[in-house]
Amino acid sequence: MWRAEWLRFWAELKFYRQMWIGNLINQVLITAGFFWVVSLLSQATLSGLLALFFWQYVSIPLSKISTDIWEESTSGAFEQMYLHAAQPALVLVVRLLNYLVQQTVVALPLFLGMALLFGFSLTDLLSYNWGGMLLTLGVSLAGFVGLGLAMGGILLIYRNAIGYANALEYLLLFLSGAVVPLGQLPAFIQPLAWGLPLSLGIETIRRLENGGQWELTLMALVVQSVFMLVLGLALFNRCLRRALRRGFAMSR
Amino acid sequence: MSLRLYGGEIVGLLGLNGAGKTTFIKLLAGLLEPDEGQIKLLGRPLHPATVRSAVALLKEGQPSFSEFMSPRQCLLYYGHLLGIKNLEARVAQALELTDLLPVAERPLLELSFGTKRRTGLALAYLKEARLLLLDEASAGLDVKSVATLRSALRRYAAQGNAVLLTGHEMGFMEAVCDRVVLLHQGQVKADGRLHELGKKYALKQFVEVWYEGQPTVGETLEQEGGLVRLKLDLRELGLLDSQRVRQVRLHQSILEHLLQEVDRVEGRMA
Repeated sequence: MWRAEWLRFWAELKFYRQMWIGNLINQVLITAGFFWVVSLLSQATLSGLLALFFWQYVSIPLSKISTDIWEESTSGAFEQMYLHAAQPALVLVVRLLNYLVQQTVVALPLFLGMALLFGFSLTDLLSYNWGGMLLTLGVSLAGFVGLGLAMGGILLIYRNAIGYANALEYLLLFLSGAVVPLGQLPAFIQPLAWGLPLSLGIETIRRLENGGQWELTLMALVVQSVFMLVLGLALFNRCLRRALRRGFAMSR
Repeated sequence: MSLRLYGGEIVGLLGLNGAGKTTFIKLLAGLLEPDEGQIKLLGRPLHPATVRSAVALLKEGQPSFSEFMSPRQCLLYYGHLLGIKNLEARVAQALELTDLLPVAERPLLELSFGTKRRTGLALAYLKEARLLLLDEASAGLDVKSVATLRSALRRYAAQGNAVLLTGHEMGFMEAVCDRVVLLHQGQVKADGRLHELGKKYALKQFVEVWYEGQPTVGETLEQEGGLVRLKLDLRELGLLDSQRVRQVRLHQSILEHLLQEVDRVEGRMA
């Protein structure tokens, strides 16, 4: 399965290389633009820059799994994959991991370059708790794999639901603390904001910098991510069973 | 409905829109679960593992593959998923059998629909599928692609594999199918070899004739100037004055007639 997905990954990268370069430019512009605005409004912090990268990186399972399922159920490639793979969910996760490797290779130098460009010193970078950050990233990604599978499952039935996947990504950008810290959001939004799947992760990486109780938010994040992963897998399998009764992507 | 498919034969599944052809194909491929009844493949109840190893499917109007991949990459991808041994050599062989070697490295997006269909056929060769399912087999194909597909399907069936296909182009279906099955509202209404069904339903081959003057036989379809467009049994053609016949063409294939006959009997056309 790894070899199959690795082959597919390179074929996709080669074919869509222009689009990939365009997306990279978008990524740089969005991150730099938002961080510049945030810097003007409040103090520029390393965790603030990290939060924007965190949003982009952790949202990948949601966007990648959704887009793949949407495109493949339209072209018939998903049914073909279903015919040839014992565990479609596992194939999607392996494909995602390949994609994350590529994104990591891109994101690391990009983050380093932008951090230096925005005036953070190597001492600032080295003094950050990277171990805690990686743990937070891993746990958040696991939860988002669940969210991606849940959305992917829904797309196996309702093909037009792809719009909601995109909307959810931007909801997370603005209400999960990636741009504005949760504590600075309007009071009536805060209860909703704290319950969003990305919020605990971003709050943890902010606390890793400012010395807050990050272990507490990380523990809550673990519980939330396990819940999302289990629920997402269950929902994907349930939707797959339903699609097998009514046909793939047959409803609007 | 009850239907048996045998290795080595090409079976055409016919019916009007909504007859249940695509649903039946999906059921055989395990992409839909039956509400009731049982499907057996190679003598055993249909199981995902058996489908994976023994069934190849090409669906209606869809490339069925990620189009950024080339035919070779598609075959390698599915070959790796299935864990096929000696994969490189077998992919090369499948590409050769389906005349895909000249375009094997080009992305599917740049290739014709017929070539995408042949990539599906190559996949069937690669996994040595005992049952090949093609929904709307010849739809969207040009004359050359249809001829290529026809001979490729013949070769495939000749290796002892069963091919089940649906289609609305009756000329193609007549030319390629050993046996036809007629579906109407999810039920098998006719099943047999073409000549057997022709005898059973007393089917006639009709021609359309543009005739100058008043004909003595046939059914008048329209009149234009001094010409009459007639539909008549092929055997009645000799009864017309050949000097007055301006144009003759096949009115419908025997399968079209069969479809209409069954549909008429079932009361739908009335």
